[in-house]
Amino acid sequence: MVRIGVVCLLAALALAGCTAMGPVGPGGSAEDIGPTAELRL
Amino acid sequence: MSDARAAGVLVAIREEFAPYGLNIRVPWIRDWERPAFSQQGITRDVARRPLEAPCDRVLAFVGRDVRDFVWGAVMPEILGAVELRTRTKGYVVVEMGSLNQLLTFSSPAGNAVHEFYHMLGCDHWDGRKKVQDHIARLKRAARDNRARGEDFFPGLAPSGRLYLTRGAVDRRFGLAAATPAPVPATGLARND
Repeated sequence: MVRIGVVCLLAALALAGCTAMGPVGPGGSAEDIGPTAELRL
Repeated sequence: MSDARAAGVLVAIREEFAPYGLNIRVPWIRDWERPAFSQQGITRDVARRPLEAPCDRVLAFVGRDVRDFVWGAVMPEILGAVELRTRTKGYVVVEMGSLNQLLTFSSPAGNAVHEFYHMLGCDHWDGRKKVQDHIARLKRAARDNRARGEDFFPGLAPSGRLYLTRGAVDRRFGLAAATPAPVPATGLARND
C-alpha cells in the first residue's frame, strides 16, 4: 500500500472511497459468508 | 513498538472481520528485528519464514526510526505489504510518525486491516461482493480441510490458487516444513 504525501494528497483522498474494502453491511448475510471459522494469526 | 499498540491493532483486525464470521486468534507474538529499511527487504524476510503450526498467517509489525521519518517527509511511503505467492505473510507499519501518514489520515490499525484483507485473498478495488466471495471460499476450504484432518486456514494466491496446507505454503518458498513454535517470547505472547 503506497501512501503518497503532499503532492498527491487530493488524488489519494479522491481514491479513498474506491480503494476501501469495506465490511459486510447491508446486502451481506450469513448465507453469503458462511458459519464462523477460526483463523490463527 | 509497545505491547499496547500491538494489542490495539489486533483488536481492530478482530473487530473488522468478526462480521464475516471470522474468529481471529493470536497463538503467539514474538520479538522480531526489522531486517531492512525498504518494503522489498522486509517482505522478503517475512516471506521466507516458515508457517509454524498452529499459525495460519504471519503478520509482522514494524516500528519507525529517524530514517522513516525523513523518507516519509519527502517520498512515497509503503506502510504495509503482503507477499504475492501465497498471501499468508506480510507486514504493516504500526507506528505513526510521518507527514504522509498525517496528511492521508492513515492509521496503523487501518493499515493492518487493509493488509489483512489481502491475506484473505482480496485485491485493491474489490467490492463488497468480491470480498465476501473470497472469504466465503476460504472458509469453505478451511472447513473441508478440517474434515480431512488438516488444521489450516488456507491461503489464496492472486492467481486464484488455494494453498491448503502449511507444507504447500512452505514449499512455495522453497522451505522445509516448520516445527511447532517454541515457548512464546514476549509479554503479549499469550494464547489470546
